Formats: sequence, structure tokens, C-alpha cells
Amino acid sequence: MIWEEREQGLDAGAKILLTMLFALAVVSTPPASLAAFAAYGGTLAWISALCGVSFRGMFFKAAAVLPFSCVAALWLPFAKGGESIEIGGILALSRPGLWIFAGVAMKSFTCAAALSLLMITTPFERLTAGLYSLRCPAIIVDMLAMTHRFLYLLADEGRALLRAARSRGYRGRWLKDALLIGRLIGSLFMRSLERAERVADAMRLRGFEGEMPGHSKRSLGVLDWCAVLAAIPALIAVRLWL
Amino acid sequence: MTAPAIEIRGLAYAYPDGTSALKGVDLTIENGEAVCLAGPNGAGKSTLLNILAGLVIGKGTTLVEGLTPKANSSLGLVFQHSEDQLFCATVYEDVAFGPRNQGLRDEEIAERVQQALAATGLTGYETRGAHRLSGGEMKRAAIAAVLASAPGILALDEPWAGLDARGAAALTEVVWGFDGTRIVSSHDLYRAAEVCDRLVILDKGVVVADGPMGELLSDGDLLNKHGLEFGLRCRFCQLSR
Repeated sequence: MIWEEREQGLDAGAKILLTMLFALAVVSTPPASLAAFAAYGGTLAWISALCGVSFRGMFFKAAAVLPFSCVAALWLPFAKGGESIEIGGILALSRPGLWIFAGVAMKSFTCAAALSLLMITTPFERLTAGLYSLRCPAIIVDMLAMTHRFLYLLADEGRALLRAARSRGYRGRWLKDALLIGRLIGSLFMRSLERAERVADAMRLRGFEGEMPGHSKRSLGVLDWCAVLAAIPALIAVRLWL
Repeated sequence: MTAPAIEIRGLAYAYPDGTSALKGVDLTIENGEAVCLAGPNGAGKSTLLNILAGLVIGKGTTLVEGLTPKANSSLGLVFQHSEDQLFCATVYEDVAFGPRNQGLRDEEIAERVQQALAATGLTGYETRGAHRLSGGEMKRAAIAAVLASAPGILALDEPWAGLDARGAAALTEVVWGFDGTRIVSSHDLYRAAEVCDRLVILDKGVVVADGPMGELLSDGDLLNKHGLEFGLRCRFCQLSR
């Protein structure tokens, strides 16, 4: 499968570019174009099926963004003017506001699903290599790669602290243990800082001078450009005619 | 005449809070020597290694192969906590990090990585994540990462700490196999005696004894006075014989 194969298939850079184009098409689609959203969903389901990715898993990963996007747009059905819909005679909701709210939910969910598919089918180190091949500034990609690595170190330190606290009777009751949780977070910050300094020392000892070595010199190939160029008219067609 | 591997004269260092870690250390290590730095906790062993590696700067004269220490010099330091030394996604990437920073070509990098992995018995671990290695494997991977930069001097801070007997024996083999100058900071004089010919005892920031390993190990009073021991002393030693 072209999307999934790591050596013979698309470069991660092309996959990032395709995902961005897809997201651009999704966010520019009017909320009322339900057929277009069905086409976007169908495309994602088709690719995930071909890659053997669990659609259910992808659905739940994408659904994680809904509480954030929906809360941000929750005021729209109440505040937006225009034609209103009465609910039980006590609640008047704006129809344009409801459409915008539904649009925000559908767009954020579809974009998150596309990102999930990209993340599931592409290892992180290939994603950073893909960003290099798209000529993304090295400093940004390096920071991204280091952040990804430090997240694991942070999680390690957090687990060690939690284990130490649990071994002495901590059960994580939020109100009762709020003070302890605050201290644990402070301690986690200090320990992570110290560990980060040691990792930085290790990097300096092996010649690191501010730029990660071994940046991918690979550029997008013919197959990658063909896929991107083929996707553009397809997305425009969905956007304009559905 | 070539410069000694390490030359230290009147080296002193104090932590930012004012605590003195080293108080006038004098030490010369010739090329090819295998030296054990021993001493009680807080003696200044790790600080001395950090100064030699160029991570911190002390007062006095410190020369590594005739040059002022700097972070990417010919001295390769293996940390006590090797998990801090492995920060890439895979063992291969970690071991290749040093050679890449040296600006080597991809083929040379691959060769260096394979040599370092073979020297540490980690051939076949290239795609493994560092967080999935055991303590002994992690320590050997950290050494491989240092060896790949082809250092002339290998310095190890408490290399055997926390390892089981098998892991410690494998590590001893790796240290023994290194051709250049070896500096090992350790409490474990049994293991250190296998790979070092000279013992330097540090206590409270000064060198209190410096001589052939065999000679100093036979001085039980000296070792006891400085928080060290060498010799079997346990309840069941008679039974195991």
C-alpha cells in the first residue's frame, strides 16, 4: 500500500503535505456540504482499511479533540443571530449558529482523524525526516524531535515519583492530596530539569553544537510529487461539486 | 616527546554553593595506562572526571593529551547513569550521534557503529529503543556510543554500579578490550583490579594514595581509612569455599 509502505511507498514529507492539503480542503468546506464531509470520511476509512489501521482506534483518537473544539464553539448557537429554533418553548437556538457549531465539530474531528492516520502509519523519526525533506527549518524540527524524546524522560521521572509516593500510601485523592500533588509536580519539574542537563552534557560530549546531525538529505521523489499533484484536483473537485 | 594522556596540577573546584569538591589535585596519567580512581562517596571522583571531560572548569592546570579539556575532546566519558547518555530513538542512532557530529560520511558512520556495537557485544541491537534495554545492555550501549567517536581515553564513572554478576562481567570484558588509556572511577575494587594496573585514592578532594594496584590493595588499613575494602568478608564465605 502506497500510504503504508515505508521504503517503497510515499516519503513521510509527501504524506505530511497530503495531510495538510486534506486539512485545508476540510476547513474550507461549508458546514452544509454534508456530501463533501462524507467523501472525506470515506477517503480516511478507505486508506485506514488498506493500511490495516483500526478505524475504531482512529475514531476514538480523533474524538479526543471534540471536547476542546466543541467547548470553544459552544456559545455560537446562543449568541449568533438569524433564524432561531425553539426547543421545548424555553430555549431558542440560532440556526446559523448551530450550523457553524456542527461545522467546527465535523472539521476538527475530520482533521484530527487525518492526523491520527498519519501518526499511526508513520513512525515519529520518519515524520521528522519528512519535515526535513519538506525543507522545514532545522531548528524547528530539532526542537520537535528533542521535545518528543524529552516527553519520554519526563514520563519516566513522573512514574518514578508516583511509585515512590504510592509506596508510602498515596492514593491520588485529589482534594485531600492536593498539596502533595503540587509538591510532586514541583519535584518532577526539578528532576526533569536536572535530567535534561545531564542529557545535554552527554550530547555536548559527543560533539553536539546546537544542530542535530544526520539531517535527511532526501527530497520528494517522482512518486511523491505525482501523489501530491493528483490529490490537488481530487480535493478541489470534492470541495466544489459535493 | 608526546604529552601524557592526563596532566593535572593544583586542580581545585568548588560547587556554586561554595562546597569544595577538589582541593589541589596533582595527577599524571601516561598514555596507555589503566587507572582506577577510588574513594568514598563525595571524594570528588565524578567531579574530576567531569573536569577532564570539559563539562566543568576547575582552577589549576588540567591538560588532556596536552590540551585544555573541552566537551568534544579525545576523552570519552561514560556516565554513571547511562540512561542519560542514550537520548535517540534507536541504539543505532545513539551510537551514530558522535560520528555524525564529527562530520563523517555515511559509510564511515555505519562502519564505526558496527565496530562499536561489536566491541560491546551489541550487534543486532541496532533497531532497539534504549528504554527497552536492560541495565547491563544500556551501560554497554552507552559505552558503544562513546567508543564510536574513537576516543583516545576512555573514562567510566562507576561502570559496575547496579549491574548483576553477568552484566558486570560483560562490561569488564568491554573495558578490558579498549586499547587506549582507561580511567575507571569505582568503589568496586574487585572489578577494577581486573582492568586497572594503578590505583589512585581520592578522599575529601585530595589524592591520598597513588601506586600499583596490587601494592595498595594489600594495605587494608589504608583502604579502611578511606572507606574502601578489598577481601572477602561475609557470613557464608566459609560455606562457599
